[in-house]
Amino acid sequence: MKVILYSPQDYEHGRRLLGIIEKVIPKNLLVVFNMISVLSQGLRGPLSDTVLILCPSCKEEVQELGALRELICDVRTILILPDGERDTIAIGHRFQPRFLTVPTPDFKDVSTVLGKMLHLRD
Amino acid sequence: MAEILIVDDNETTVEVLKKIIQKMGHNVSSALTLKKGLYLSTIKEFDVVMLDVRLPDGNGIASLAEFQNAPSTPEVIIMTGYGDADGAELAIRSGAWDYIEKPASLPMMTLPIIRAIQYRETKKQKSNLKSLKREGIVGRSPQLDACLDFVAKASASDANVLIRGESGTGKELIARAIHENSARAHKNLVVADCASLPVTMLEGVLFGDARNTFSMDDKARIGLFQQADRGTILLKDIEEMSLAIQKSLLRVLEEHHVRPLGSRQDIKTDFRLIVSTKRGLEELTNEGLFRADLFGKLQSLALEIPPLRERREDILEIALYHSTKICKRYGMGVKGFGPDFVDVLMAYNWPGNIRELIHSLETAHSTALDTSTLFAQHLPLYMRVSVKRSLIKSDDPASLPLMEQEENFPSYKEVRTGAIEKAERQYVINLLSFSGNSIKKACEVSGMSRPRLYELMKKHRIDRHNIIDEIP
Repeated sequence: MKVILYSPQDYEHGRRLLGIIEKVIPKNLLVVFNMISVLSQGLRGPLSDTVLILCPSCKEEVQELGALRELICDVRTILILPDGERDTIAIGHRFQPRFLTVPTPDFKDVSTVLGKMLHLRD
Repeated sequence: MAEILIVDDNETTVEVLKKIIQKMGHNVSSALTLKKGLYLSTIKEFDVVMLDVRLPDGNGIASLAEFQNAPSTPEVIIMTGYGDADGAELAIRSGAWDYIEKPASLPMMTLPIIRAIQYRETKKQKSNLKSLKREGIVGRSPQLDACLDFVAKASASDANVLIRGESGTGKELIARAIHENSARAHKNLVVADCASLPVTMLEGVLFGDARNTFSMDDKARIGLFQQADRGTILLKDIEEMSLAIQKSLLRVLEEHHVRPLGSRQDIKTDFRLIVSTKRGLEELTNEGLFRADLFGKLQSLALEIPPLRERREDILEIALYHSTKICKRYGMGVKGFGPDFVDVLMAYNWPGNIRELIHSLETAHSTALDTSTLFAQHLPLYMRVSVKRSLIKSDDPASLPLMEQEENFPSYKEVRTGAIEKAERQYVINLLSFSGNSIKKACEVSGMSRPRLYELMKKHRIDRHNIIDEIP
């Protein structure tokens, strides 16, 4: 089991999310990417046992991540959209995520869903 | 109900045929001359034309192509005089579906008509299926064709859909295909995974949460049902839903309104619902774990996806499809499959279905990074062990307990039928290959009639256009 997190380095929500995820899963199972180009390389390997968490900082970045859709369509994905605007949500659903949400102060929903996904896997 | 045109100058023959065909439940039109027959074939859509050879204003066979090129491209059955072998041969050579010698017995009359109609129905279904968007749905087995028929039917309707199937059979792909082929395709397909979402969260996620206790965005707690407005919502693993949420879902289904948690206001939403389940909901209903009224509402259109072990003929095609995808993802050249690799894929039982097949291909590709061909040794050990064990079990009856031997040992009839079927199929494949896929030539070489050849091709599901793939 492996968890891949993508979030830009300077994104405040992403940094907070990382701190919360690190409390849920052991560090050796977590791989963090801060750039989409590096993430696309990181996805070129077995992904059957992977949960992917995408936390883009703006709508343009969500669209940019769309280029990786073919790589991640079979991966269990949690997508944290930068906003809850109707068209951002519409783009988000094209990723076929298992869970789609927006940033919250404690990311309780993300940690709960991730916990359940990992538990289901065990 | 099919539309049939009779072109014959003998009024008695026309009347007799009319009665027979009407009794079969089809509509009949008739023409006593070639000219009138050709005219009718241009203004009305016929499935079958029954065409006499000797007509007052010309020869039926000479006009065969004109009938076949009519807008509905009907199948043409030529009616020849008794003992006119040359006429019969000419009819078949000219591309007629079949010929009937007049006068003929009732079965001799009806059988070619039934077969021609069946052939047309299959042809129509196939062309409907060809135009379906079916991303990721791979295979050509009759079981998969039945699923695609269902997709076509469900896409044309707005009724609730229930998809049942073992884990990894591709329920979500079928749901996506229904959405993509429906009038709602330009809007969202929203997926709610009831198994991944904790019970405490599911209601808020589905119907919205106006309490906004933790969101940083006012619009963020819009429920998935609202996000699916004018689109489709897929509830995966609905058997995981609690009875309390089932009650709320029933209300939403009846009223097409959602009330977010903590709100007093209903919000209208126009969604199409698809649910999927790994378990029999009827069984859960009997156990009191699923609401009977909700179950009733969900099964307007229901599909059971067969497990991979029941459509083994699709395994290789699915494996090739995903192998190409994996190679592309890994940035490596496409790999070939060694014979022993294929043997294991075909012999394994695939309890985890297509998902397990994809996982094992990933393992094989990451194990065989530098080699251009995948061999059995690249597959997970547990699979190879399982296949070996099953082979030992089936090859050596002596190793089985007595009871099991009696149950498993095939009857003489089973073995004989199986061998004949296998030989028959191989013969047709070789024949078509030898004849360059020409039905005409295949009939000449084999001495089989055209209908008989089509019958065998249909029976063994041989597509002459894909014959190159089938040559061993």
